[in-house]
Amino acid sequence: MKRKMIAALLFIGLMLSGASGFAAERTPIKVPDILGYQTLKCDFHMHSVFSDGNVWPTVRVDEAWVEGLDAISLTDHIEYLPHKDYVISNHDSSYEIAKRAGDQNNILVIKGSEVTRSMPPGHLNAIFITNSSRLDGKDWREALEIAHEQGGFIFWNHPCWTGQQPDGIGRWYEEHSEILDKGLLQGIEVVNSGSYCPQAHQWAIEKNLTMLANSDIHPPIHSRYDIAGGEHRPITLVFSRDRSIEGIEEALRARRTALLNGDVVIGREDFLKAIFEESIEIVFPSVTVVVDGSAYVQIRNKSDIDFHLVSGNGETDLRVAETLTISGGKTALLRISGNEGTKAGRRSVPVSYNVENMWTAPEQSLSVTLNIDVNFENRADPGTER
Amino acid sequence: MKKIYFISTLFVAMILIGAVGSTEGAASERIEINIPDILGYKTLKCDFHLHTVFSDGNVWPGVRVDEAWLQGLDAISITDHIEYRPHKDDIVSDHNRSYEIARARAEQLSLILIKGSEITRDMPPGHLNAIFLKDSNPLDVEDWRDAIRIAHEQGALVFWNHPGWDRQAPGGIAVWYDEHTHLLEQGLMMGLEVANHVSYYPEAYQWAIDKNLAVLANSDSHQPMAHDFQPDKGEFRPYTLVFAEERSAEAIRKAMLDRRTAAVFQGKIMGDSRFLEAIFKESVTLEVSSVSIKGQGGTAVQVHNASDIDFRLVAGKSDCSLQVPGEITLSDGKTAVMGVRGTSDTMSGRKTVPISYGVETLLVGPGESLPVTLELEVEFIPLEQQ
Repeated sequence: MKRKMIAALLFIGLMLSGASGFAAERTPIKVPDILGYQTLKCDFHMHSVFSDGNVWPTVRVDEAWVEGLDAISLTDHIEYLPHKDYVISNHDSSYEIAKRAGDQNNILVIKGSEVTRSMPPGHLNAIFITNSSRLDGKDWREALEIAHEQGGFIFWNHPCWTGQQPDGIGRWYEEHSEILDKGLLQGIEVVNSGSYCPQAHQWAIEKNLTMLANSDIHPPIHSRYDIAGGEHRPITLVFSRDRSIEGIEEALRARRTALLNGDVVIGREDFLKAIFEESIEIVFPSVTVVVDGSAYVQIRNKSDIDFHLVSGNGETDLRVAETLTISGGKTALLRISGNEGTKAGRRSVPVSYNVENMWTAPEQSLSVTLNIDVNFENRADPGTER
Repeated sequence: MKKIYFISTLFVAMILIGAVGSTEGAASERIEINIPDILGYKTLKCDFHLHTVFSDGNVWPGVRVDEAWLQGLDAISITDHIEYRPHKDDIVSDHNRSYEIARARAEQLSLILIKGSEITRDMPPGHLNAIFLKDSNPLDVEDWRDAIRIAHEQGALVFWNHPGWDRQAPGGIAVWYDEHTHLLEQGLMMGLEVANHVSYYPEAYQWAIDKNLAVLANSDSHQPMAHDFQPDKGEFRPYTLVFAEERSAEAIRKAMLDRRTAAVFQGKIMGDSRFLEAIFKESVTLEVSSVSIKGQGGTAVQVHNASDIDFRLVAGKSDCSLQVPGEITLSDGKTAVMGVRGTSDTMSGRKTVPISYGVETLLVGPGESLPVTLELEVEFIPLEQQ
């Protein structure tokens, strides 16, 4: 009888948990696949009640699914467990609980932990590890060694975080050189919970570290980001040979990432250029401009990323808009007009812009060239002027 | 050194957790729900049925407080199951813990937090919430009758949850059992949920009227609230209006004992006509109370609705001296125009015309609209003789 009641209760509970779900719709994030790789959307830094977060691990999987992510890693602190009086468990529990939910929702869940120290070395995440509990109670150097031996990929979290650098400026310490030299540091968060760290960006370039952008979310994701309204957490774009954990690991070790932080994209020039070029389509590539008149080139953006263009070194005998925003999913109009000295005839005109929100290095934006096929006509007919 | 390390990690964590209520991010401002105070009472907005990780919910208790504050509520009760605790391998505590953890946050935000628990059984009697408990632990007993008696002896109020829940009431049709009669006759059950999560139970509403039980509407949320309901999109959780002498837990308890409640569910309010009529009267004003109409001519009467509830009016039997719209919606916070027209060329003199409507969004019984009368003073001017 007692047993029967428990079985019935279990059933009840499952139904209660599953009954929710107005928001049970996934919205894919449109960023094109590039250079023969799949572009996977990932977040490798988040917390649950198993450290100082405020949600059950399965919530992280649900949130990732709704937001359109492919892979996540729950990286609960090894050393900081403020709920430990009630949340009695080992460091592997949050992964195990989330993994079961991930298998149901087709979200890739990567095992991870946050090794938590004051600066230096600060906080470091180890992902793709096999046993989190073994990192506990160790000197931080030893913890990183163990993570490394487990096949872990280690990255430095939020180097500019004001909790550890009150002026918000990242500093590279001898400890970081030490772990870099020992092969215990492969990546760095250039973006954490919406904050961009220019020093980390520069170090990633100079020291050939994998760039990462992660949410480091502790409360429910909706309380920080208006997901339903189209906002996103910071996301690491991983250019992977396939949609698998092994593919992501290979890509991270090969430094094939770019970062999405609001409407800013950060990464190597070749990746950003490929994202731009795969996103943009010139709808009618050939236009006719009559002297003193204008033509409009239609530029379609198939991605969800807004591109903010500011003119670079342009053509001398052609006038184009100084700024142009090509919003995600929209088609923008680029106005082109001729000059007095414009030569007649058809030719391909390279129009150069800087994409202000695509950053290849601190304070350096991506240069792109749009090739427009323009036919200039010298027809001096006032009736055709627009 | 060790000490410094702990202090710094504590600091770390406080900042991390602080993100819940910080000014950053999507939701850090409280929505105010405008429903007027009535009959000398304060109209308090309450949700008396919520879960956390301490039973089968997926959030930490403090999250329920933050969500309630953000969504404009005055009071909540966290009602974790006594008997159903699927996370118990990881979360080990007594039955008072979720209340105790949430209390500090509730005090910071001046949200009223009422101690509660859910007594969880097969039907009959189904699931019952006990709120205003002093100690939840003694409710953990084999016989549900004992649990309810113990709650009652603590001064708790007990109500029946989701009577028409399809898991326990096949077809979603609520059934009243002898057990409920027994509880009612012993004074051990003072109310029931007429709405829960996304469901409404008309049978339960009829019983509330017939048996003088307090009507309640609660969210019964297990997931983060924004996962189930998005107030920005007009999706509010179900909540209970309590007409209390003041904004305090004790006044809420007294009001519930006096059956001074109404249930808000998907844009409709269900409750006793004296409360609903007062809400309508306090919310709705005629911008012009006096008009003049010549013969069968028309004029526009502006009607303002100061509340956040849309009032959908359908014409009842009206005074035949005015032609009025058959249907009109007074949207929340808006001013509507009601076109009225004379019906006679010869009518003359000043009179107060009662205009009768049924309010489809104020339900005084299942499917039964609240009848209201708008009184308009009209000066009738007869057409001049030819």
